[in-house]
Amino acid sequence: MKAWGLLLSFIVVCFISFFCVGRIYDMHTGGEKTEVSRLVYYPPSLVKALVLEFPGVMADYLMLNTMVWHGEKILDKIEVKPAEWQATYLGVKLITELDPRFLDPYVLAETSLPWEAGMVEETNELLLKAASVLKDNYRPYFFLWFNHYYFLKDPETAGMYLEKAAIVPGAPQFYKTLAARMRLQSGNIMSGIIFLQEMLKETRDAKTKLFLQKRLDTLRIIAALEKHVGEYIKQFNQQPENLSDLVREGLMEEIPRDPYGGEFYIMENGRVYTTSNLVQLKSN
Amino acid sequence: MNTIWPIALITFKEGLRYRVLYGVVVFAVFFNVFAVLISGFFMRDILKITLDLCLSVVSAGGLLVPFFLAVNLLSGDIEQRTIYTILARPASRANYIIGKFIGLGLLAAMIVGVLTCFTLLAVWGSTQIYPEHFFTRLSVSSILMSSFIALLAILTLNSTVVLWCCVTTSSFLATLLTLATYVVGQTVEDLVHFVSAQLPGVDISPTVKKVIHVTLYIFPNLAAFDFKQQAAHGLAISFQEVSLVTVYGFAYVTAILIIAVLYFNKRDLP
Amino acid sequence: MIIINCNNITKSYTAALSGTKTQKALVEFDLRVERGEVFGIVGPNGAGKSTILKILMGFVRPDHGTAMIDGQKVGDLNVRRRIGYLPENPCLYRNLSVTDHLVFAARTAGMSKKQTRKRIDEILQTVNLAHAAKLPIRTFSKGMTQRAALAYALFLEPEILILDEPMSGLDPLGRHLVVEIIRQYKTSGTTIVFCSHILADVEHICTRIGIMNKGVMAAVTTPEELVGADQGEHVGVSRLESFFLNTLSAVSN
Ligand SMILES: Nc1ncnc2c1ncn2[C@@H]1O[C@H](COP(=O)(O)OP(=O)(O)OP(=O)(O)O)[C@@H](O)[C@H]1O
Ligand SMILES: [Mg+2]
Repeated sequence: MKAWGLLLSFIVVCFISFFCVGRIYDMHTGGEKTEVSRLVYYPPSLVKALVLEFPGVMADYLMLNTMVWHGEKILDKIEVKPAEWQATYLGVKLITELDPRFLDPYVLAETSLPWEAGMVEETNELLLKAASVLKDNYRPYFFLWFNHYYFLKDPETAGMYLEKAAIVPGAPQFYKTLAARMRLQSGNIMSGIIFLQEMLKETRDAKTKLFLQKRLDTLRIIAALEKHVGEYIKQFNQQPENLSDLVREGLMEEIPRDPYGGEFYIMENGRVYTTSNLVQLKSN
Repeated sequence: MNTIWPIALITFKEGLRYRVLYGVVVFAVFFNVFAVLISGFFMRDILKITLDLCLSVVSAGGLLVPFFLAVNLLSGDIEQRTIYTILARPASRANYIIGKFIGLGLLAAMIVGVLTCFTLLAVWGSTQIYPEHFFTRLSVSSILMSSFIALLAILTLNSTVVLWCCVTTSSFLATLLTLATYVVGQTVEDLVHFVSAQLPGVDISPTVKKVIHVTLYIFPNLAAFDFKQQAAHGLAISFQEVSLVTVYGFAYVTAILIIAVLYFNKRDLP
Repeated sequence: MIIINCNNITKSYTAALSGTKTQKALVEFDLRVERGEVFGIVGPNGAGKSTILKILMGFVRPDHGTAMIDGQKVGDLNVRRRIGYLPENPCLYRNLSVTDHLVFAARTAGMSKKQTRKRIDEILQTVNLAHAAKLPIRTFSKGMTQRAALAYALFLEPEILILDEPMSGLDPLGRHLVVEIIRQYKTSGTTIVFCSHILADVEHICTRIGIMNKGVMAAVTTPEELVGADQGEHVGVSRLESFFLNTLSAVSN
């Protein structure tokens, strides 16, 4: 009799416990989380003191969380809000305070912040820190070159950074000639393509690869479009009014689709842009 | 006749009987395997991630000695009167303190040694799984050096534990004081940097500055013994820095042990 | 020749947290023991018996007065080398075996390995623990622990034995064993100071008996004096017991 009572109460408390755990889990997953960890809002020096002799592990942990967080957003095609980009930037800043020689966070920042959140200045600041500690790594200067060339449209400074990147041991040979070539080529788009090709070369993660590939594809389409616009101008001595002019004159079969869901359009200066601005538009 | 070595040995032997030591080994194996696997999620710094985790396990495992074994083997010794067993032999109280310290040092050296071997094994396993070019920065000598200095840090902390166990009558209080020493030791250098930097808008009173500066000299500067990041990134650790830290450690330990002996000599052991 | 000489010792313990002095454990206490004597101390609980023995070992320092053993201050290493001490509650390491303890003692004395092994076998035979030589102390019964601690005290053939309640926790057989051991050491000329609550044993083996009460030595007697003593109102008890009770009632009046 006693044993039965005991068993019964055991089962009851087990149910109560499971029920509570489920509720707590729901409560925690229901709310929108705008950041990877609340830690990113604390001053980095405070966090550094709090983690005692384990800043390296803390940096790894935060980095992993950041990657998972953004990975899920990419996978679910959810738009990242400006506040969330700000949190990401703070996160990278914190991680690189904890371990300034950790390369991954810089790369994450470079491949996302300037492109999707327009945080070029902030990214450059991070990269300068990287360049000062990662003396034997060419990437920080390469990234700085790209940001100045592509986003800030400042070829002078960009060239300086590319020269710095070129003299770092282990830097790709073509950097030396790239600076000169950059001036002859149509510019902007080409630098983006080179940048993305370099990034793709050293990415193993399939998700990130897809993400970069999509961007590269779009840039290649834009480059092709601009090339055809150039041909049109040569032929007709005037700029096409619409991209559909290219198809009408038989320069192209059709106008390719923007992988990001936007529409390509042409500016007065002959440059081609897209309404998506290389950020995934909500699919309807 | 010298009694230090027998005391060290019996302390070591007793420490070996604590099951928690074997728990640490299991924990370390688990964690190192985890480190090797998790590092694959990262793009470039695979070696760094592995070493970050493994070397942290080395430090954390070593901390078991000051936080748990030392308090048990010293405060417990006094609380439970097992110290009579040792002092009934012709062992002076100074010999007792030094012998205990050496015994604890042997335990710490054993833990750090075993966990460092695990770290090297983890790195080796990692080289078998991931492409070779991730390991160009691997520097075994830096890893060994980092572990050696981590051991020095633990010895330094041990000396303060010995002092706390001598001046307090309860192991609980000794544990608390040890924890405080550890936290202060890890952060005080950063604090001094902070108060020394003339930050705009931050006004720190001169007395506070003085107190923090004095703290830096009184408490063990444990942050100075942290070379994990250098080892993880495969940077060479400068000989000058290592020797300076080593000399500092030895001097600090000696000073603290002298205070402990002086106090302990005066103390009743009812 | 006097080997143990305590003069005018006063001791009060300090409370751990408040730092206030408790009631005095010893008050102007004197003790003189001749070489080769067996001196038994008896007295009610809290009389200060253990305290004086700890002072002789140098574990506790007197507030006033001096304690000397063989002309040297107590606690001196050269003196302590010659003493075997049995604490009140056996204070052995719970996780180590009795052999581990004896090996430690042998190491402090610089004994050779062969000699150590021989002596360990011998002493464990004496205290009847040969079967439990390798077991950790925590698996021992109270009596076994007591005998292990006794083995540790006797291991290095000390000239002076300080035993704090050596018979406590032992069965009649064990008690008999301890009494025999003390007798044996007595005949070999060892000076023995011990305290006990088992008055019959004390009466049998001591050459002198001190009765302590509230930190003072109330009376000192010898077994010979007890034979002729008046038993007073206490009938049906041993002679020492009646002397003990008489002394205490005389003191409290
Ligand atoms: N560690 C201590 N702290 C404070 N007071 C103590 C301590 N040890 C003993 N005392 C006090 O000293 C007095 C004498 O104690 P002691 O242990 O010497 O008595 P004892 O004669 O050995 O008694 P028992 O027969 O119970 O063993 C007692 O009043 C006791 O309360
Ligand atoms: Mg007692």
